[in-house]
Amino acid sequence: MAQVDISVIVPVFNEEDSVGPLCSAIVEALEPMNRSFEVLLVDDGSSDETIPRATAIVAKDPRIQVLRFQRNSGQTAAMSAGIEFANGEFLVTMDGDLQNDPKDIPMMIAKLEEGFDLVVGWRMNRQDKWLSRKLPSMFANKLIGKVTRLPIRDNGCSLKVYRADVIKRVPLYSDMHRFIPAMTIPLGARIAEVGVRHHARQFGESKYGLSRVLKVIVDLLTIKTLLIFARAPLKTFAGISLVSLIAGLLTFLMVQTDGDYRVVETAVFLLFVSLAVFVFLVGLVAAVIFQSKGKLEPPQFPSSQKVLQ
Amino acid sequence: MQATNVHPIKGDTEAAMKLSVVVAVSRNPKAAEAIKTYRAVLDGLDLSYEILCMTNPDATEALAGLSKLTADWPELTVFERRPWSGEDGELATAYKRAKGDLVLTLPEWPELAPEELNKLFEAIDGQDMVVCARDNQPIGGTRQALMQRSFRLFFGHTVSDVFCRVRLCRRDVLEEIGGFGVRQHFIPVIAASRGYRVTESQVKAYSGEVEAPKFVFKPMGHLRALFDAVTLFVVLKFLYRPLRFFGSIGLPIFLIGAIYTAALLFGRLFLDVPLADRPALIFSVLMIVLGVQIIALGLVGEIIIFSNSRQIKQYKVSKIIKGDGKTAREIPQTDDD
Repeated sequence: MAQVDISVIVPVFNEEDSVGPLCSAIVEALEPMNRSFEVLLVDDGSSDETIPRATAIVAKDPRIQVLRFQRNSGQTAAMSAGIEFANGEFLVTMDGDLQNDPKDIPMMIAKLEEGFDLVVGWRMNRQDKWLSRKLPSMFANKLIGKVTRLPIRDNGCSLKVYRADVIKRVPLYSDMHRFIPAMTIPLGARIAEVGVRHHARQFGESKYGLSRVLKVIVDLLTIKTLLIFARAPLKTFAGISLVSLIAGLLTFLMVQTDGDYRVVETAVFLLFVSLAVFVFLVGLVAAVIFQSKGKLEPPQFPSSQKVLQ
Repeated sequence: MQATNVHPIKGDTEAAMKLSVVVAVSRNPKAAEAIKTYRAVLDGLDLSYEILCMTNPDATEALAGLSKLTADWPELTVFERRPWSGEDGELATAYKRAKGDLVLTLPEWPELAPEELNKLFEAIDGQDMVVCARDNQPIGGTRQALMQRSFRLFFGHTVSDVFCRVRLCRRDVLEEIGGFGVRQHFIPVIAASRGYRVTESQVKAYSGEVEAPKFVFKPMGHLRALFDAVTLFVVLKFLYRPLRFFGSIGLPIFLIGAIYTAALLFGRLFLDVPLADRPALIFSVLMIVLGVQIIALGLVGEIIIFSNSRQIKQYKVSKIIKGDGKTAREIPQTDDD
């Protein structure tokens, strides 16, 4: 497909009731902008009437397309596919459950054109249950902000607008979609945050539960650890190796000081030294992996990141 | 490998092949008779089809019967006398050779009434795999319940007739699942846990006399199956997140070791508790070392996945649906697209 100005990427999974009103709302919101656009519905293996209904919509409007997954692959995969297939200069991602309002898109694109690479929405009047959705989300956002040093108010809001050349360079795997803003920092992305509308869910049920809070925490720890090591793998591993070596040397000194041949201390000394050697060698392997990917730009979190509100 | 009968299939081209029927023969000397019972149904399906019958070196008697059968059944191809590493190996090889869009797996003895096969073809519409739930399952009770519980534990899915080998699925599903190592009974739950649509079809069990092999308790075989299940669990759940798996093992070991070591050192330095005459310190430091090593391995795995994340696709687009203002057209996607 030819290059367009705006690509709207919407992952859908069993949204048979929402898909029609959603497409109408997106088209109504974008047509007044007088910009070329496409809507990519990424069907994540729906088993209801989502596909037949989406096909009927596609037949009437060539600006709308459906990418149909062979199987259910998750939201990150759906976003990743949409980003890969999109032809727009600006990419918009949003949920398919009608809780995001497409009317906010023109305002967000205008903000992007002020010179930002990423505009993140935050739900001003969030229409979700307080205990099961809003409270865990508040906790998660605080935590993500602290760990990544990127104080975004609402990481869970899917309504975001990106410059294509930025988002297409962000590595997305596992459940990384929640951390896209943080992952754009090493690319020098300029990020803005704007308030957006939020509606109560009209159809179907939420696919999220409280269990995702734990997943977010584990993901966050994983990403933080990964990014610390990705910055300078050999140096970081060598640091751990050095700590182990110092512990071993201290134990060795204890053996020498005591004068006698001490089995326990000697064994502990050998354990620490072997760990130091092992960790250093692992660091070498990690460094080789990064070196073999010449164009990889390991993300680095700055000491602080300013997000314009 | 010798293919005893390779014939063109009802004048169709290879590309038009619709159905591949796969049978693994290893233990039933009367396998030919069993397979023959399905012929009328297969011929009546109005689909071009092939039958791939894999035999192992022990199936001499069965091979003789199958060779006779090939004389007037051009769709039947028998692969003979190759050590396939058992039934799972036979099936894996057959799946690689299958050309049909759909693959029907049949056991070497009749498990369901032949006419019941039609129900599978009716049920496959909109699904990726259809498995059978026989009305009178020959194997039930503890074994069935144990398998179902294990499947639910490891894969989050189960089927009501774990031991039925008859299933119909799309070939591309098998192409992906084959990469995880095919173990006969795991196939439906692997497919379901990978996000494929798996449905059950209620069918009548075969009513005639069946000389199915009796259950033999093989401790090593069951142990291997358990290891396979654990391996598959790890691969399916943590393939793209190795640090979470290794971290969940290594971190507790490291923390216990660190706390234990700290307590021992505190006792030695401030309470004057001797350490040299007991192995406690070696044990606690060993836990630290082990924990760090496990986490480090996970980290290397995560770095590999992260480094290759742009090349690794966690999804497969089966088709793109586009419109022209009047109609919609589906553009099938292949790996080359």
